[in-house]
Amino acid sequence: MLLSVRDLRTRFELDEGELWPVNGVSFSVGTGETLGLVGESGSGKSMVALSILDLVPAPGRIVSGEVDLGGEDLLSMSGAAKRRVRGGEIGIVFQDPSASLNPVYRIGDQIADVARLHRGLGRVEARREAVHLLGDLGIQQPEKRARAYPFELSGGMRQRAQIAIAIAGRPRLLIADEPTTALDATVQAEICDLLKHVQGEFGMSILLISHDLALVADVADRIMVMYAGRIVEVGHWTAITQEPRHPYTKGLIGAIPHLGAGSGSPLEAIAGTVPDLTDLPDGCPFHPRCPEAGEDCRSAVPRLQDVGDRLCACYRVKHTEAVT
Amino acid sequence: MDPGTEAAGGRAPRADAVKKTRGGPWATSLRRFRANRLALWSLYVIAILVLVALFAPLLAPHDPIAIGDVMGTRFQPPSWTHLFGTDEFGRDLFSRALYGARVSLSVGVLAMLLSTTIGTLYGSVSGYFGGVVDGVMMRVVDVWIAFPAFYLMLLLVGVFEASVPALILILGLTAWPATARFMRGEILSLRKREYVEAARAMGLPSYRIILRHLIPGALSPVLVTGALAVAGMIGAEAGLSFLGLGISPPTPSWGNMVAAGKDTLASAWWVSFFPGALLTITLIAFALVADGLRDALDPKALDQKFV
Amino acid sequence: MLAYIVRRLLLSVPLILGIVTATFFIAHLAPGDPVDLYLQPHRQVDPEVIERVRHDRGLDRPLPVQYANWLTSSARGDFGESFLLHRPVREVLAETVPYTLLLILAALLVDALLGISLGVVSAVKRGTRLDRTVTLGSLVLYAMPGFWLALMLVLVFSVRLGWFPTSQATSLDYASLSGPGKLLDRLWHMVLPVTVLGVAGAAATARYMRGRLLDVLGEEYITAARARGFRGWTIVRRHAMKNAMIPIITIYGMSLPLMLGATTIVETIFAWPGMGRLTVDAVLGRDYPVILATTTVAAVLTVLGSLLADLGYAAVDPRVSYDGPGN
Repeated sequence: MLLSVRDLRTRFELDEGELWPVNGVSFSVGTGETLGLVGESGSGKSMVALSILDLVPAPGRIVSGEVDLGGEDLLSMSGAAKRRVRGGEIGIVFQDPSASLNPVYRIGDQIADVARLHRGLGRVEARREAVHLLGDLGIQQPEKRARAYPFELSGGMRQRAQIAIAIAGRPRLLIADEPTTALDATVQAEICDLLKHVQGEFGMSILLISHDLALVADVADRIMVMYAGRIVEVGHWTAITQEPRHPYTKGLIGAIPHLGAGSGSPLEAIAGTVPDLTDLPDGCPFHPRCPEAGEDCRSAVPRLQDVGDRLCACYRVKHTEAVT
Repeated sequence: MDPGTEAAGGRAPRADAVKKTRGGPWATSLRRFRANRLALWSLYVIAILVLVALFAPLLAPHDPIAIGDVMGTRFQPPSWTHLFGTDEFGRDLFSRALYGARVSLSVGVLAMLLSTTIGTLYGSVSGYFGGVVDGVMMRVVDVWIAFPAFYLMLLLVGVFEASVPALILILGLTAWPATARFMRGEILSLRKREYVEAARAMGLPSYRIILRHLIPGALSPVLVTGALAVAGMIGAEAGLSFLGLGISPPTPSWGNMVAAGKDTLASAWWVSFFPGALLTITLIAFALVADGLRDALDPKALDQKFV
Repeated sequence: MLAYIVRRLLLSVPLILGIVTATFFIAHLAPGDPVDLYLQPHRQVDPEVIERVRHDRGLDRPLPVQYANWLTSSARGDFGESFLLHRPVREVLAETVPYTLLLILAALLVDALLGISLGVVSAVKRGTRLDRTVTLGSLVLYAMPGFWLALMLVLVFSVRLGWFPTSQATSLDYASLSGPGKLLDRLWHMVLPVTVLGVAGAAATARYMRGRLLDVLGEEYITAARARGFRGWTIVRRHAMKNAMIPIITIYGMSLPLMLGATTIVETIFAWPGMGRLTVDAVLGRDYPVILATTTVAAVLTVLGSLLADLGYAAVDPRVSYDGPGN
C-alpha cells in the first residue's frame, strides 16, 4: 500500500458548537491505483484531503489517526519531513485554479519553484521543466504560456497549469479535489483524460475527490462514498455503480441519468438536505433522509463492515458472498 | 476599506452550515464586544470623561480661568492641592483639564455627527441614483479628498474666528467626503439586494428607500468609522488649538494647554504633560472602541500563528 | 506607459484647479480688507497710499478678475508678494519646500521600513504575545497626538539627556563645519522631527500591513503553497508579501496629505524652516498670498503622490494594464 489512512478524526471548535468533518475515516490507496471519494458538498471530503497533508485550517484540528506513507506516519513527522512529503510525495490539485494559483507570479515560475524545491533542479533546468510540463499537459505555445500570469489564461489552461505544479515535484500520489467542478462542461472531460494520462506517464496513484459520481466512475478503480464525515460504502467501481447497497449510494446512483438502474425509471433525488454537521441526529446520520430507516438506525452509528464484495456501513445491508 | 477581500477562500469550513446564532446578529456582536476587555475598559474611560465634562463645575476644585496671586502660586509642581500642578498664571491645571474635556468631547462628538450625517446622506444619494448624478457627486468628493485636509482646516480657521461652534462646523464640513465615498460603496452593494429591489418594485419613493432600507443596512460599518472620526476630530481640534488657531486662551482646551507649557518644558514639565496625557488616553480609548466594534461586527478567523 | 502618465497628468489638472479655486474663494471670504492687514504695522496711513497699494495689487478690481489674474500669474509660478515677509512668495517657497520634502521623505522611509516589518511579524505571529504587543503599541502610537509626542521627546532627549537639539535644521556653527560634519549636523537635527512623523506613520502602516497580510495568508493560494511543501517564511516572503504590498502602495500615495498636515505641527515645534511652519505663520498673520501659494503646492504634491502611487501600483500588479484600470 502506498498510503494508509487509519481512523482519522478532525474536529472544528466553533462558537456554535463543535463539528467533525472527518470522523473516523480509514482507507488505503495502492500503488498506481485511482481511488475515488464521492459525497455531497459539506460531507467532509475536502477536509480529508487537507487532513492527509496535515493542513487543516484553524479552528480545525486533527484529533487522532494516522496517515501512513511508506511505513511512516506523516502526522508525527518533523516539520521538515512533512514539507518533503507535501509536493514531493503527495501533490494536490484544488478545485478552483483561479483561487489556488498565486495571481502575481508567472505560471512558469510557480511550476519551476516546485521542481527546484523537491527535485533540486537548477534555475535553468527547472524553467525548462516547467515549459516541458505545460507542453506535456496539452498547452499550446508552452514557452509563451509559462511567461503568462494566471489571469491571462483560460479556466482550462489554469487547471492544466495547476496540475503541472502538482506533478512538478514528481509525487507518488496525486490528490485531485474537485478538479473539474469550476470548469466548463467541455473542458471537464479534457481534464479527466489528462489525469489518466498523467497517471499512465508517471505511474502515480490518484485520489480523486468529487461530488460527481459519474465523473469518478469514469476514472476510478475503486470508489468510496462519504456522508457526514464518515465513509459509508467502499468497493470496486463496478460494484458501486452497478449494484449499490448503501441506501445513500443508491440515492446518488439514482440521480444520475445513464447509470440509473432500469431504463424507464424516473430520476430519483435524495430527499432532505445535507445535514448540519454541528447538529447531527443520533444514530446513523443518514436516517432522517433514508427510505429504509428503522428503529435500530436511530440508536447507534452503524460501523463500516465487510459485507462480501465491499465495505458498507448500514444495518439494512447483510453479509453476502461475492457475486462474481 | 476594501470590500470583497474578506472572502478568504477555504478558511472556515462551510460557514453556512453553522449559522446558528443566539438572539440575532446584533446580540452576537454585543456579546463579542463585551468579551473584548480592552474595548470595554475604553468604553468606561469614555463614560468617565463624559461625566467629567458634564459635571466639570462640580468636580473642579479651583476656578479654571481666574488668575489669583500669580507670584505666590505660579508653576507649582503636582501636589495634593494641585493634582496636575499650576501654570504660569497660578491656575490649577487639574481644574483646567476637567474643563478642557468639555471642549474636546463636544467638538469631537458634534463634528463627527455633522460629518457622518452629511457623508452618509451624500454617499447614499450618490450610490442609490448612480449614473450621471453619481459621477458628478463623486468628482466633487475627489477634489475634496485630494485637498490636504489640514491645510483646508488651517485656511478655514484663519479666515473665520475660531470658536467651539465654528470649529465644529469647520471640522465637520472638512471631513465628510471620506464617509461619503465609503458609504457610496456600501450602498452600491446593498442596492442589489432583494429587499431593496422589492421596495423599488412596490413603488416606494427614493428618499424612503434610502432612509428606511439602505442606510440602516450600512449602519454597522458607520459605527466603526464614527468612533474613529471622534478621535480624528478631537485630535484635529487639539492640533489647531496647539498651533494657536483653535480655541484661544484663557478658555482651556487640551491643545492650547499643551502649547502653554511648551516653552517651559525644562522648568515645568507638568504644564504640557498632563493635558497631553489626558488627550492621548482619550484618543486611544476611542481608537480601541472602534477596533472592538469592528472585530465584534465583522469577526475574522480565529487567531493562529502562521509560522 | 507614457500615454498613461500623460492622461493621468491631464486628469490631475482639473483636480488641482478645483482645489486652487476653492482656496482662492475661501480666502476671500475673510472679513476685512487684506490691505488693512498689509499696512497695519504702519498705523496712520494716508488714504491715498492705501488706494495706491490696493490698485497696485489689483485689489480694487472685481473678484472674478482678481481670480483670473491670480490664476494666470500663479500658473507662471508668480505667487505675488508676502504681506508679512515683504518678499516674493516664489523665493520663500524655494527656500522652505525642500526642507519639508526632506522631512517627509525621511519620515516615509522610517514609516515603510518600520511599519512593514512590524506589520509582517505581527501578522505571521498572530495571536502571540508579540503580536498583541505590536498591535496595541501601534494603536497607542497611532492615536497619540504628534505635538505631545514631540514635546515629550524633546523633554526626555533634549532637555533631560541633551542628546538631540530642540529646534532648527542646523547648528549655529553649521557654516564652519566640514563636509561630513555638515551632513552629521543635519542628520542630528532630523532625528526627533523624523521620529515623530515616521513613528505615527509606521504605526498606521503596521496596522494596515497586518490586516492585509492576514487576508492574503487566508487565501487559497497560500494553502496551496503549503501543500506544495514551501516553508512558512518562504511563503510569506515569496508568495504573500507581494500580494499584500500592492494595496500598501496606494495607502502611501494617500498618506501624503496626512503627512503634510502633520509637518505643519512638527515644523512649528522644532522651528524647522519648512513650508508647514510658513503656512502656520501665514495663517496666524493672514498672509493670503503665502496661504494661497502653500495650499497650491500642497495640492500639487498630493495629486502627484497619488499619481506616483497609481504608477507604482500598475508597475507591481500584473493585473493592471497601463491602458486603463483592469480587473
